[in-house]
Amino acid sequence: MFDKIQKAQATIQRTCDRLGHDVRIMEVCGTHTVAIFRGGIKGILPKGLRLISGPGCPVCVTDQGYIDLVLQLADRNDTLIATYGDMIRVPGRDGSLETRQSRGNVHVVLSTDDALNLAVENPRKTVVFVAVGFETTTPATAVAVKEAAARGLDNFTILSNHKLVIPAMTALLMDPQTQIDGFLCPGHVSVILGYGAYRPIVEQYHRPCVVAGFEAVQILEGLAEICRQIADKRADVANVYCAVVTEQGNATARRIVDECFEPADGYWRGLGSIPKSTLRLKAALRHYDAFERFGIAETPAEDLTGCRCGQVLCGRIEPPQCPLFAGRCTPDTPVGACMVSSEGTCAAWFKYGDRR
Amino acid sequence: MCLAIPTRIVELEGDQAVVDAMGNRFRARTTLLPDVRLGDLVLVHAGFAISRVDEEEAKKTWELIEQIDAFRDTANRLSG
Repeated sequence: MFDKIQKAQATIQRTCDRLGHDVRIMEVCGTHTVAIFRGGIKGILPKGLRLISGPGCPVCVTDQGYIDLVLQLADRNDTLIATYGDMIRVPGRDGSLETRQSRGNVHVVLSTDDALNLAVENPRKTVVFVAVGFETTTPATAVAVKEAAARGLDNFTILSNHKLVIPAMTALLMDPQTQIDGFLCPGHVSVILGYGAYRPIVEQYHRPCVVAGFEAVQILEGLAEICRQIADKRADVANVYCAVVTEQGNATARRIVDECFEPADGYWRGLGSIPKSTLRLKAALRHYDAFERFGIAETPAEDLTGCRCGQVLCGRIEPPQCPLFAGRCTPDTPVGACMVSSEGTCAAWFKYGDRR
Repeated sequence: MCLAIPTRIVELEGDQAVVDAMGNRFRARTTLLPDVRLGDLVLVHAGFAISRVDEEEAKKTWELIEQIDAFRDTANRLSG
């Protein structure tokens, strides 16, 4: 193991020395951000290598406008809100799902099966499943919608805010304020997508895309591979998470998602509207779409006063540069979404990083 | 949020499975991996098996989880 660490470290060092300028690598996934801190990886990297946390925490990138819609639905008397635990504390303009729990209609679920069961057990209420997450999480929602349709479970709906990773990576590359030399691509999103999915980024934008798992050594190997490509002036797709990620990914999961959803323009916190980056239910499944059922639409909302989550998510600033960080905004009293989720960049910096 | 853990399928009927991760057993669906069999190792995310995983990788992840748990226990004892 130490051989591998030393070899990766040497490659990274050599690249930074040779280039003579900073190398900026974005880890797209929130789980990577936490693993990088927990593994103490930043401490053994040369100063010239900057790791930038990307928009890869689904809770964090969910726009304020969507959160406010969920809260609006939670305030009705005819609904039950089914949500993964990650979303419960995200503050909207007026409180959070957590502050509404005493009303008894907010249910934390571990899977979409639990959300379907909630609809079966409560025929007089309409269940709204808070459908957030990237490619890893979307297939479970698609299976639930298909099953609701097959069983005629009319009181089950989803409020889809499922996001696509690649349009966000592309949007960042097109933003002149963000400089990214390579991407450490998300492990479990890639289980579904397959590492071949990053080829357009490599071909059009000439940035290395390397998929890694969540073990510290593997993250280092991924970073070393990116550095090696940058030093050789190459940009390729590579995969060091060979145990679970294949070039084609999980085709069954993607087919089920394609049967239910189609890409639409969508709002991201900090990134604004990104073309074809959010999944909406297809017209044939409109009956299960909470936007249609309740006649609501998402409108973008400004970040809460003073919160700079948006800039953190694009890698423009680091959390300590936000005036609220570690003062008014802490994991116990989160103001912004990046502090709420345990995988949020601000939460990771607060827990493991330098708070100044 | 995209975290997935390696588990072994210990019961399987249709696409309904019971899986085992380090002695913890829970329900998971195999809808997204139609060809799995009893005894296979799979990564589970939000109640669904999303990919196969080999023995070595599963062991590495379980060890990592054990280390984190041990670290948390120590941290809790120190702080509490």
